[in-house]
Amino acid sequence: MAEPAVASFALQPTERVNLASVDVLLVDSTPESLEVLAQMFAGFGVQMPHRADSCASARQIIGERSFSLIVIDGALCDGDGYGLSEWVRREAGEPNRFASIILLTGHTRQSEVFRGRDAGANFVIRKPASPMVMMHRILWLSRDKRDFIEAPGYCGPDRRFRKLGPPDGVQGRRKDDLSAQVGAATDPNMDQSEIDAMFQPRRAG
Amino acid sequence: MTDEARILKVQNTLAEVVRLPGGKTVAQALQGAADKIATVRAPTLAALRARIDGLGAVSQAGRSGSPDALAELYKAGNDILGLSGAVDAPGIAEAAYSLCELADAFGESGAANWAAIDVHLDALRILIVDDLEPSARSHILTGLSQVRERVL
Repeated sequence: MAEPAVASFALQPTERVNLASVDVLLVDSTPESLEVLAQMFAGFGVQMPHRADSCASARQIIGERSFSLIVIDGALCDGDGYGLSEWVRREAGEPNRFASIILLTGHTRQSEVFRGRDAGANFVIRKPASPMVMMHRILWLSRDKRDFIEAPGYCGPDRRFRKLGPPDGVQGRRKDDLSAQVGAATDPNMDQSEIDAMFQPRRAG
Repeated sequence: MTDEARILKVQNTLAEVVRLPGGKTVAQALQGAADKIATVRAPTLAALRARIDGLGAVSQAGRSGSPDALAELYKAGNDILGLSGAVDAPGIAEAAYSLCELADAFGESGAANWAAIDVHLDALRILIVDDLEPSARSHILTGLSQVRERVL
C-alpha cells in the first residue's frame, strides 16, 4: 500500500511509538536550541540523544556510530546544515548515509531555497519546531518507503512522494518513467471472441 | 559516478525500532516532551532576553558602518525564531522572522534602513514581556508588517 501523503497523515494519540532505542543525533550550534531539542527527544522517550554543536563534531560522531535519525539545524556556525546533509548522503558511508534526516530551518534566504530542496533531507521543518510537528514527521518517516536516489545533482530520498509519472508532454528522466497520457492505439481493437478467448481456461503444456 | 541516476532500495532503520513493543502512546510522548521542555523554559527565556538586549549594540554598529552587523542580526533573528517555541511569548517568532526578512534583503541590496531594524528590535523587547495583552501583541505585529512592506 502506498504511504499516505504528508498532509493527510494524522497523529493518533493512542498509537504506540517506541523511540527508546532509536539512535538520534541532534546538531545545532546554538546551545539553548540544542538543549530544547534534546529535552524534546528525551520527552519522546529517546534514552540518550547524541548532540553535536558544530559540523565538525557532527562529522566526527557520524564517523563513529550509526544513527537512524539525524536532526540538523540549517544554520550551523561552522559551515551550514545543508552542506552537512549533503555530506552525510554522499560521504558518510553506510548505514548513516541512508539515515532519516530532518533539516530545521528558520528564515530561508532566497538564495538557499533550492539548496534546501537539494540537500537530501527527508524533511525540512520550519522553526520553531513543536513536539507535535516533530512527532508527526518521525512517525511519517517510520512508514516511508521511498527509494534512495543517487545522481550527479542530487543524493537522497526520492523527492517525489507520489508516482504520477512525468508531467504531460515531458519525457521522464528515468528509465522507468512512464507518461500518464495514453497514446493512440497501434493495433486494431480486439473483437469480442478474442477477448472471450483470453478468459477461457486452457490446459497448460 | 555516471550521469545516470541510480535508484537504491534501502532499509528504513527507523521503522524497525519505532514499532518494537513497549514505548509510549503518542499522547504520552507529546506530554513528555512538553514537560521536559518546561524544565528549561526559564533559562531559555533568560537567554532569549539577553540575545534581544544585545542587538541594540549590533544595530548601532551597523549604523556606524560595521560590515558584519546585518549578518549578525540575521543570525540572531534565526536563533530567536528557533528558541521561541520553548517559551510562552506569542508573536516573538513572527517578529524574529520579520527581522530576518529585513536583514537578508538589506544585505542583498547593500542599503539598510536602520530605523526599520530598530523598530523590530523595540518590538522584540516588548513582545518578550510576560503579561502583554494579546491585542497589544497583534497591534505590534501589524505595525511590523506595515514597516516591512514600506521598506522592502
